[in-house]
Amino acid sequence: MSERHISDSVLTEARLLVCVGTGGVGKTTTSAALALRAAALGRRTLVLTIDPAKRLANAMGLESLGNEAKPVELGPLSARGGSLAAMMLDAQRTFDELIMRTAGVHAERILKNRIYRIMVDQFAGTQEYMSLERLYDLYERGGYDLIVLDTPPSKNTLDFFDAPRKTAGLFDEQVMRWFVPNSGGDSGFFQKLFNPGAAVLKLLSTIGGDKFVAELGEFFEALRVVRAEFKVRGDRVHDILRDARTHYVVVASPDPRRVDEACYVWDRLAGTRMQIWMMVLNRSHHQFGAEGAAVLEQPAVASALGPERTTHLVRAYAGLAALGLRDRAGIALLMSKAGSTPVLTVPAKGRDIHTLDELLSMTDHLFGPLSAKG
Amino acid sequence: MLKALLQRRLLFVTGKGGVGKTTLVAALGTLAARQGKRVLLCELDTDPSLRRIFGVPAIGFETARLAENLYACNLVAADCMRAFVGRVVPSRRVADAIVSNRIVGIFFESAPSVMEAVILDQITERVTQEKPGYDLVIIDLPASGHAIKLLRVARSMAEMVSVGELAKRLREVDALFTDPARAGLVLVTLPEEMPVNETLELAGNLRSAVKTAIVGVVCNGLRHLDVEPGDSEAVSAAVTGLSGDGASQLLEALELARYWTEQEREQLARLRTELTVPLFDTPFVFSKASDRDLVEQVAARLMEQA
Repeated sequence: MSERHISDSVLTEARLLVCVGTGGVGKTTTSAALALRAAALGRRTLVLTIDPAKRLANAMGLESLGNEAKPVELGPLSARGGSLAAMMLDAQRTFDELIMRTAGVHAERILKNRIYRIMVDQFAGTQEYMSLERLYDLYERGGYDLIVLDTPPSKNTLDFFDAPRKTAGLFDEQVMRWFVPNSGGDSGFFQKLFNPGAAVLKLLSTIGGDKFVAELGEFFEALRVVRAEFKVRGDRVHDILRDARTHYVVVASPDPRRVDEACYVWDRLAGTRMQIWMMVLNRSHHQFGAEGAAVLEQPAVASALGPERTTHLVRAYAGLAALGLRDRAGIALLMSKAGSTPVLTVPAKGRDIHTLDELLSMTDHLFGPLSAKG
Repeated sequence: MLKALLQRRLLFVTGKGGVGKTTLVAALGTLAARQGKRVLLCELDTDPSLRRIFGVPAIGFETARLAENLYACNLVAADCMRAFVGRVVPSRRVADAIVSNRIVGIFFESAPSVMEAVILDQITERVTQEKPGYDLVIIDLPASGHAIKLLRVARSMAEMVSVGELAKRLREVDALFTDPARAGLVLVTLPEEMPVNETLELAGNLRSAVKTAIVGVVCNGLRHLDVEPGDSEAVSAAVTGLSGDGASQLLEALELARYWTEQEREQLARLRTELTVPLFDTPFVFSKASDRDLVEQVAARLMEQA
């Protein structure tokens, strides 16, 4: 297991940290821990998260997290002038707020459209898209030095980066033209000759009835109003995600059965212009060695336990030792994947992380203890 | 318990990411196939894990054979759309022209719920079609949140669309999904606080938003280390004065094992008391086992709970 530390200088220099990884690898906890460390280093930090465990919210001194940033009480950790706020994303409210802000007089009509309501509620990319939307506002005018973004836990975790493109499909010029005849552009002779829109509308009406098509038309027309705004924001978010002061942290588990997922995330990220700062492997099991097993064989220990418990514990210890070995294989594989990018392990602990101190001690494993100097 | 579970025609398997959904899908399918049922496993447009587990070259829209009586497919929305339009539009040529048009593709990809609706259509098709005919179809649903969205599409689309082919189809989909004798949801979790929190929340949300019955909960990864606080105390007292790294390693290991033991018991108890559905458990595998071995071990433990 790697005991080396890396410098935490990225935490003092970055404007945005994006934690990516598949579900169940401790992404939310890692995001919170990194944000806390940055705050302790003197930065005004926000952690933007999705559905954290309630007890994590409690650990940060919060009853609950809402769509608003809630300050976390840092006590002595704020000595260097930093602060920490936490926010949990409410995709639906964010989308509504965006429409209200940008659609002017049309806002009410859009918000009431049933197709809009269903899209906000169910459109698979909404959550991904909205975390980016929220990010845009907070990044531009939130007053934070650093934002730590905990990306949504989807299997294809990097759907997230496709979200702006996917949502932009809603505003495709030609699609709108089917529903809104005067939405721009000439409808030339060839356009009329082969008009996929007419075919699709006919099909949609066969499939869903005329009322469905009418409502869909209203939906697209209404969204046309906010299109320009969406486009500008989408482009800007695209730039923010690739900015020189944006860094990515790949969060994974050393479990060899989950190494494939980590490799997939890695490949998707490595194929972009995005800068990967480090890979964090949570719940890495200590390599319990033969010395520990030997202690169980010692007469003093064996007689204190009795033969039955001794046999049981020998077996339990062997199980844990096997886990350490198994993890070593996963870590080696991920290290070769990561090349020159640091791969750091966080040990599995016999307790949950429920307090700021525990979060901070998690970062000690990555960067060493918080230094005393100011 | 297991027998009743596998008697249904359609099982949806869901849970938080990383809890072992696909392993369970493979294990349930393997068991049912060995009982002589014709079984189809469906992945929904994911990085195909079943392919890896069973070591087959590819799994696509057309079914692939995994083992005796056991088949799999990977349903991608675009293929489902093609199949749906193909049934609605009589001319194959027109259907192909519509579906393969780039702009139409953009529209369907971005228009709300359309992709989800055609996937549900295709699932229903596979359950109800007479040829080749499956006794049991098991769906490897995406992680919790997305699963609810997918299952709700039939209802919310039905609110919007009241006439036409889609409305007719949505009624069939809804009738199948809400029939507890034919369809059910299986929730998968781990004996840890966060996954159990999410499972309980998911169960609540499913009950209020989706009318599909929850027919079982499977808690994967039970370590069964059964290390008690007394063990650490006894060892700790006995090793006082011992030098070397061994004692501290042992105590650290026992501390971890004791914590896992306590956590497993606590979380299993929560699942048992808060969800009134059959609870199954499957073992954690400590050594480096192949995916296929893992499926066999999970299947063997499920059999014990038949």
